[in-house]
Amino acid sequence: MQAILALIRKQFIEIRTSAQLRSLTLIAPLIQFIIFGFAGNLDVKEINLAVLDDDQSPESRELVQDFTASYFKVIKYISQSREADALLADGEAKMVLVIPPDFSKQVLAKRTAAVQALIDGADANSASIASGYASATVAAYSQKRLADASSRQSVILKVASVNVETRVWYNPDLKSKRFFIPGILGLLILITTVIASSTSIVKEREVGTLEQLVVSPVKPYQIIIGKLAPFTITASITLMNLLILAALVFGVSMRGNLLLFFLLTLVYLITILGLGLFISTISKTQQQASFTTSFFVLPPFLFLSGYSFPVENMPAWLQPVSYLIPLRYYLTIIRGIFLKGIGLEELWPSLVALLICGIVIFTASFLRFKKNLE
Amino acid sequence: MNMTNGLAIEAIGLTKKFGDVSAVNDLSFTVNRGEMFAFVGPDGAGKTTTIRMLCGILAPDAGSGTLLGFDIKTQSEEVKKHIGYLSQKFSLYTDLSIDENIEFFARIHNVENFAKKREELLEFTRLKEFRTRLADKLSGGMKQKLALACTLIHKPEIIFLDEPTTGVDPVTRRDFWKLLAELMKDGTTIFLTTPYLDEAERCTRVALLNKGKILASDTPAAVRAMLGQKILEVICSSVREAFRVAGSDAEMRAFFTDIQLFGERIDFIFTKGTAAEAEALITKKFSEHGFTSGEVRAKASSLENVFIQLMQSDDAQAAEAAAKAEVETEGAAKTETKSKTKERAK
Repeated sequence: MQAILALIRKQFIEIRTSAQLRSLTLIAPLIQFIIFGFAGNLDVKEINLAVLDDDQSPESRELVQDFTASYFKVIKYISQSREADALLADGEAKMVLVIPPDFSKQVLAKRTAAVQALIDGADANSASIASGYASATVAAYSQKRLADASSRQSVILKVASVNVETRVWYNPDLKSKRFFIPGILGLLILITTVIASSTSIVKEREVGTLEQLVVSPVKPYQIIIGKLAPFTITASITLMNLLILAALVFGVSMRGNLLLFFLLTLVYLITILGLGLFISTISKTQQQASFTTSFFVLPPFLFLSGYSFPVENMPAWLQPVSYLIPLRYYLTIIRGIFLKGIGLEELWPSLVALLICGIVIFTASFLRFKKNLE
Repeated sequence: MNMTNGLAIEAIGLTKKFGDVSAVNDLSFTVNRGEMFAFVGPDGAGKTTTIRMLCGILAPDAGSGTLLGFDIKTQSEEVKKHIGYLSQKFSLYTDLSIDENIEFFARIHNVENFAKKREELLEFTRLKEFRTRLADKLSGGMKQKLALACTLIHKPEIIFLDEPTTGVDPVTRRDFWKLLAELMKDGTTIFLTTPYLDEAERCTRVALLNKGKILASDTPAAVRAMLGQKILEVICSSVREAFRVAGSDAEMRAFFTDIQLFGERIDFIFTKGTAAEAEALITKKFSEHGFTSGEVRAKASSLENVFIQLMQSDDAQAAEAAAKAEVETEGAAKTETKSKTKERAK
């Protein structure tokens, strides 16, 4: 026990003294969190709109008015359709609204009038959102005309036939942040913990202090506990700070039970520390350890865990791979507790899966570590 | 403590292979308690590998060993309590101060009251005034002394020092040897490796190591005398040229067992005949070739002479054996081809 305490104490002194370790575990995640927290926003607002109004009637102007009243900003009125191409091509406009010359005539004649929306589809997500907004705006316009007409003449007026698409993206600003912030949190904790733990172990091997520990009466399991317990603590402190930042800077606060959140996070931490330990056993230098982390750990965690793309959208053959990624379960847990305020009744399958991941990774890494020592 | 015999270290047939290369080959030796024993040899002789096996860092492929009577394979826990190991790299925690480093090594060895011993060691190594400085900010010599202090904090009975003075400045090197002398006075058994033969001369016993084998092992004086050599040291003009001529002269090669060049002097080594005969031969040959031999004096053979000669004959034997083996495999290959041709002929 005394040996473990000595190792833990030593590790804390190293974290305190080494600027690199200190900023990696305690400071960098906070700064990154603020930056990435602001970046992580999929809400589409103020879509740049160019208008080609060949009708120039009160009716067409009213439609444009309705567009600016919703999510669009008119940046330019154009008179030639080929100008539309240029505006979309260089990204100046995200959408061009084309109103044909007979728009008002059709509307007043109570016939179906067509307007055209040209949308820059390079970013499929924003394009579909813009298209949704456009449909909704046109639908609202039709409703209004319909209401006007019926109040005046009690005759049903047929205006543009419109498809209304309802999307989850119509949320107010907060909602997409709410979705992203827990993920960023889980990812930042992953990166800093894996890099700090793996490089710190590799450093001991590089410098030769690990060899000194081997010739001392300290046992391998004591080395591991002494090495990883301090990083569990720094990660918990960082997590606490991140929660405070999430509430203060982004107004995203925890809905569920804080204690449960920390307990489940501990399971996640042990899993990723096991990963750090594993990387340390396959790396000869500290650079190699960071490289392995950023090249072989980070991409699958980013892209296959459901952090960037929903797992349900992946092809069937790829989905099973995501079961191997601990972040997948942690995302379910953290989003569940954070956003929905749910508890263990709903989250236990993820907890069990995370535990299995943790036990497997940790055992394998420990055995490898022990074998390397001998 | 196990007191069944007076041996600090006993190695029997220690062997370690890395791939096809045998780093340590069937090595046996003993070190008595309180001795200062040196492994001397070039890089790659197997010095570090032997230490690592004795300390329990590396498992031997074959052979066994005991430290203070404890088996290195089955009783490594006991072994670890009584040994200190100073690796070649002076492994320290660079982000810890001198005090913190010593304290850490005390605590992992379960030393309860280390404060007094630490003061002694800081005094002993003269690091007291730097005690709060980070290990990273120390000079090479100070790092070495701190590493030694960390090795000694749990009062080990045997310390293993792997090339402790390699890459250390001459002043620190001298200081370090003073420290070792004091440790020996206190009864600590010291096992060290060194590439420097002058350091080996100071030890109670030395083992000359080459290619994982011990060429000779005894007190420095006995090793020096083992070849029954007499040496004439000659300082002369154009020494390299003279060395070349001497080496190619048949009469000289018949008389001298070895001729070695050391910087500005040549050592003529012989076992038969007298010094006067040898000097006469050298003077005669040198004047024939137009060299003026300056100072000629008899000297005792040094460890260096012995080591070089042993190494050369060892290498020559190895080369011979390799050549022989090659001839044999070639022969075997030939017979094989022959039989194949026969088969084909059929």
